[in-house]
Amino acid sequence: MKIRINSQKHFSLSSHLLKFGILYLLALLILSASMMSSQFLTVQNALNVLRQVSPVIILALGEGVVIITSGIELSVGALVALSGMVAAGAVSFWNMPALAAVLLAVLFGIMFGVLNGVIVARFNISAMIVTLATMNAARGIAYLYNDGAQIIGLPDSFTNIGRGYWGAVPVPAIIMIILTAVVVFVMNETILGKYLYAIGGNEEVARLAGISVMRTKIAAYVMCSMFAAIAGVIYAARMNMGDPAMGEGLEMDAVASVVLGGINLYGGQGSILGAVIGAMFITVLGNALNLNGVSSFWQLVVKAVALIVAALIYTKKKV
Amino acid sequence: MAEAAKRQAAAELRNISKRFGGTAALDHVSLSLDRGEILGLIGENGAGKSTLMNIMSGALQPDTGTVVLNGREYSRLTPALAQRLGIQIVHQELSLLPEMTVAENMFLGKELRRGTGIIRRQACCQEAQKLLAQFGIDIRADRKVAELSAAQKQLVEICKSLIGPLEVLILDEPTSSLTEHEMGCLRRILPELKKQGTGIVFISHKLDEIQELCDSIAVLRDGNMVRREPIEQVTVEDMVNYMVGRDIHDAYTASRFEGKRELILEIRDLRSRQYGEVTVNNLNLKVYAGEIVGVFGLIGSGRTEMIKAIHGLRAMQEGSVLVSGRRIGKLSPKRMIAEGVAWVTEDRRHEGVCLSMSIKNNIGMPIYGQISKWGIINGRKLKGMAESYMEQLAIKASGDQAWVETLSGGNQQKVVLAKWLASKPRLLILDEPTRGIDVGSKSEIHQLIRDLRDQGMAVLVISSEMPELFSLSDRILVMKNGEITGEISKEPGEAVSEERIMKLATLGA
Repeated sequence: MKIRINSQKHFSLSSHLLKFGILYLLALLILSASMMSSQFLTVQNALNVLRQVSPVIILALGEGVVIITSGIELSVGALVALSGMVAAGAVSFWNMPALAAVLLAVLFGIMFGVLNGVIVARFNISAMIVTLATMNAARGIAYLYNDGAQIIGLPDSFTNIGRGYWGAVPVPAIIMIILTAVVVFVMNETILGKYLYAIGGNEEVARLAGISVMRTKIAAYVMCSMFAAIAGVIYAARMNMGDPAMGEGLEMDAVASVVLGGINLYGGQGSILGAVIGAMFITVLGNALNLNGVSSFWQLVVKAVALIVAALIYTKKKV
Repeated sequence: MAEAAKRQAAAELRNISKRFGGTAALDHVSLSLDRGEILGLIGENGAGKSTLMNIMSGALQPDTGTVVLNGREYSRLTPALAQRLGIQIVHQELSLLPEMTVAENMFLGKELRRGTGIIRRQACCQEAQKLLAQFGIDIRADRKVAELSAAQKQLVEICKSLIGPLEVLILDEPTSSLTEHEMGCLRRILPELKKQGTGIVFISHKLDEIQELCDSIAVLRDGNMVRREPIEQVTVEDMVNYMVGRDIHDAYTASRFEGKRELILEIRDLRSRQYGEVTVNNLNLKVYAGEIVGVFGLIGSGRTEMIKAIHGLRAMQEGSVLVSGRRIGKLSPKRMIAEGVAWVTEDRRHEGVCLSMSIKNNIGMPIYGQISKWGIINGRKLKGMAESYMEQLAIKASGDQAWVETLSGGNQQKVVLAKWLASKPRLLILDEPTRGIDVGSKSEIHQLIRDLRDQGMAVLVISSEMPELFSLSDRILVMKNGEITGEISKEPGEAVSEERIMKLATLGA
């Protein structure tokens, strides 16, 4: 008699929910939002949400990479403002072509990333403190750049980055999809990705395995700041201006997306796609609250509650 | 009646058993400590001394058995309750707050207060100073602990435990950092406490000190209490015999490697420091291909420090490291891996595995560079490699994606081994390769190590377990105080005695 071995894995509801819970929540949110507001489930609103969500996802990608190394990056909101100002200034004061302006802004982002990464990794200072400091520095420089004034009236070639379409798809969404694909590939298929996880999982083990902890950490912060700069360009282009006050509180959205997406705050585990879904959740939540006429002040409170609840559910302290 | 009260036990442990996972740390151990008795508790590393004392002081709960204090039986003691009942323990690792003063540390949690709850700072300081002076300890109570030497801190730690109720004082290796001057203070403290009727448990590897200070000894071996004798009836040699006297199943087989016995690792005149203290001194060592070299030493003998030093993790002051005859300039883990040296670390959870990652990703860690092109990992190669090592080492798991956290200790250790074997080393360094893992996995790992040797790998095994070293090593080096005090080879005709090794490790050459 042959015995058939049931090789199917034991299905555990709790671990399944822990892994895919945010997807169910997102579905539930979309469902309830469409019941509460007839405007929600329209093509117009869907495109609107897609445009809104794109820069948030881009921020969450970078933040996710840093948090996977068990770091944190709080300067992304300020970097959005700074890179928006740099790019807007470049096209409007110096008449630079849009692409060159974008590259310049990204270069600024990379500089800040190197700064953050070197201080955190080389001198072993808490990432929270370092990026809290550089957050203020970046915000300060954004104000200094044009004496605290906004830079308005940008050429179409530039504003298209935030407002334009490629076929029916908003340009920011295209950028977001490309970057998401790149980061997912890097995290899952490349040495750099494995090293980032390893450092977050156990820095000492990584060091003893011959991994250059410092270089890898710097790479994480560079990626994060670079993405923040790209998000900043998109915001500036969409608003048709460089605004030193832009991006206030975006670090909160970025961190919340990552935590909602199930990436462990102590590092080493979680999927970068989780952060993408988390960002969608945060944005759709804001959009749904908007359509139902909830004030943006209340939205802040709701987001805060969502973040704490997510952290409660997901964050398991490492042994 | 008065006689009976005087001979009343300060504390009694009845029938204590404790298991950690699959291994029995203590097996029905009973111990009675009289008032005014100074008891030397000895045994090899891992014999269960610290576990027993942690149970007495409430830090661990026994699986079975009770602690009897003041005539009452406790089956679940907590540290707070034990302290209220007068059980004080001084650990090997200091627990002083460096930025507070000596007096503040000594009175931490036991501050003298006014009725309003305000701390009487002056009074605390005076009391502390009085206590220190009583034992002739020359430390000002208002100094910051950070400014004291390691030995002075140890004394403060001991004095700290004297404040408040004191029935039993447990000293876990208190003299490891004491110099002769501070030892003098200890010699004044202990008789004083004895006079007051305090029962004292003194754990130490320094057997001559045990003989000098204690009234009696208790010997633990493999979780069993094997001896309990007055000190007058035993010699230091006896103590060594009691500690190690067990049946040895020596499954040692000679190396079957027939290739060239190339010199793989050579350490010349190594001297290194950690936190300003010399931990390895004047150390010379050679490991050849196709042999297993065992290193025995007690905790603090510099075994692990030596390995950390050759990986560039310690300040190296003198000496050089050669791999295959070539001197290695800048030492680092990365460099050593490139030279074909793999190091299975002692502390599995903190230095060995990433618990939150899969088996596959743990195994791949040192070799991602070799199985990738332009930074992109060949996923199929990685999977194939992980699977073949899982099969070769018989790692029991649901698959190569299983989290290491979910595996048993033995299987986690096999993952660490697999990781380092994947780097295809010429020299494998194993630091306590089978600590805390089940007997089955242990013998599997031993066999694997022998097989690797027979294939020509050079192996350096560090262990506190003598049977392990006996069954594996072709020669055994003994370390004490950062130096090699002797070498014992398995030459035919030469009797290998555990006593001789223990003597080299405790008393020196």
